[in-house]
Amino acid sequence: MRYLIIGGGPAGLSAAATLRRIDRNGEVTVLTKEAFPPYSRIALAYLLTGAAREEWLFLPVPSGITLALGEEATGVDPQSREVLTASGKRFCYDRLLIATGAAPIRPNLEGSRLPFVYTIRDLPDVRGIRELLKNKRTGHAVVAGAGPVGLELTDALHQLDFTITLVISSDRVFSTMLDLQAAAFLQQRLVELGVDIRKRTDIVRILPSGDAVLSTGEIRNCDLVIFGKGVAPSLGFLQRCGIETRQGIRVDEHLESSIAGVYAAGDVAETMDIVYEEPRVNALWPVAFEQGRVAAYNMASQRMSYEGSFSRNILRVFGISIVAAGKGRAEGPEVRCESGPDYFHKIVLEEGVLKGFVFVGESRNEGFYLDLMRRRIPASCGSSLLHGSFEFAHLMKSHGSHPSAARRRVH
Amino acid sequence: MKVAVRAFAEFRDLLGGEFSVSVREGESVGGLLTALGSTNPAFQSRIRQSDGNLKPAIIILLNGRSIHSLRGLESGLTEGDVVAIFSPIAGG
Repeated sequence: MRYLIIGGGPAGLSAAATLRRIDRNGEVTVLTKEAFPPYSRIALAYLLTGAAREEWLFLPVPSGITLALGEEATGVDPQSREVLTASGKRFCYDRLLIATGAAPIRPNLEGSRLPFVYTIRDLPDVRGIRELLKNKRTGHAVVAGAGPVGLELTDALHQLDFTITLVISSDRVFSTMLDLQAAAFLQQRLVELGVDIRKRTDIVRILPSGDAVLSTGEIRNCDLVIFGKGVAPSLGFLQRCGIETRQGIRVDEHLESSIAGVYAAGDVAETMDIVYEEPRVNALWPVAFEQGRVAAYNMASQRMSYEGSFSRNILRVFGISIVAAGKGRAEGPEVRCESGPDYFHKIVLEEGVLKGFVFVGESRNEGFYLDLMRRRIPASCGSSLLHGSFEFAHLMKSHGSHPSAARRRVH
Repeated sequence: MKVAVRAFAEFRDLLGGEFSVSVREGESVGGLLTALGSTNPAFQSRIRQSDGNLKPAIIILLNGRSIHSLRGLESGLTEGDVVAIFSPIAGG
């Protein structure tokens, strides 16, 4: 069996490792767009500050696979079962996994391609910024977007003694995951540290002089502009091959696309979100890793259903831990919040089942909470759940038995 | 004529999940978005750049196809069409 994987990110690599383990006779080939071995993107902010060295980023590649570096897929021909690459090569497959990930969004505005304007996704982005930092002029940076990437980059640049203007389209920081109260808590910390926050504002133009012109008419002269405005699944090369796409590649519970033998995993795949109960792209490292593993089993004809994904972000910026999962923005009768000078907690339940939570400033047991959501185990709305001290023992006590019994009652 | 709008993720909060809208014959996707934005400034500012173009992170599908593969915001609507609006994806 010839297994071909497009993409050397967490989805592609976990699929390759799984295939190597469960089908020792199969040929596994991984195509990567970039010319260097697979690396951890989530550590790029640490590379920028110098907390991590570049050689630490590279990921272990499973032995016994073929890694074809610098081979960017430009098309898929499902009839002949071939993938075409930019170098003109054709790679044949019996089973194909599309794990091309997602690309950062760079707004199409005047000056957005100037050499000091970056998105952060790939190793060359950080290498470029590090070079730029050697010739600091104003010591000011403008970061557009206050999601996980924007916040981590703002923190990294702050550590590098930059002053920062954070330009946010919406009315709050981390708007995809936080409600106004949680966002206000985080924003206060950013302001205390001197971050200049501009809400409901966009960059409209960037001039070669380093001036970033904002939609308010304000101008910020800077050494660096970074766009952290989210990502879009890398689907462009699939046009006209018949694979059904929506926001991402549509897949069934076995992560198989609309074309038999072609699977998708990671940031490019649209899978069932078990919290919102609709297909979504949850572009997250652990989600991609798990999807790659499940896709590999199905590619090797060992049927395995993917249980679904949900959004969750865990980050530590400006000395504050933020854990946000599922419906962290929701309001309603089963929503409880509590806050103090140095923390904000929120839990969101629906019919007694945890559907989302936000811990800012202090977080405990988040892995257990994520598991409660994943398994849809009913959990009481007692204070311990809100405090972050809800543990397995509480669950046993509230159900009077092993929680799997409760789960069976739910389904 | 009537078209269906399906809003996802953040846009669900701003617009509601799924609803039907009456538009004039020959209306475009851009015209529909303008109509939705005229009574909802928050939605308007989240989908359009200051030059009026759609923000690049926004995905709009007309009957399951990206409007970028059609005629963009000029893509015409017909009775019973389904317009899906997706917000940007945050990575992590």
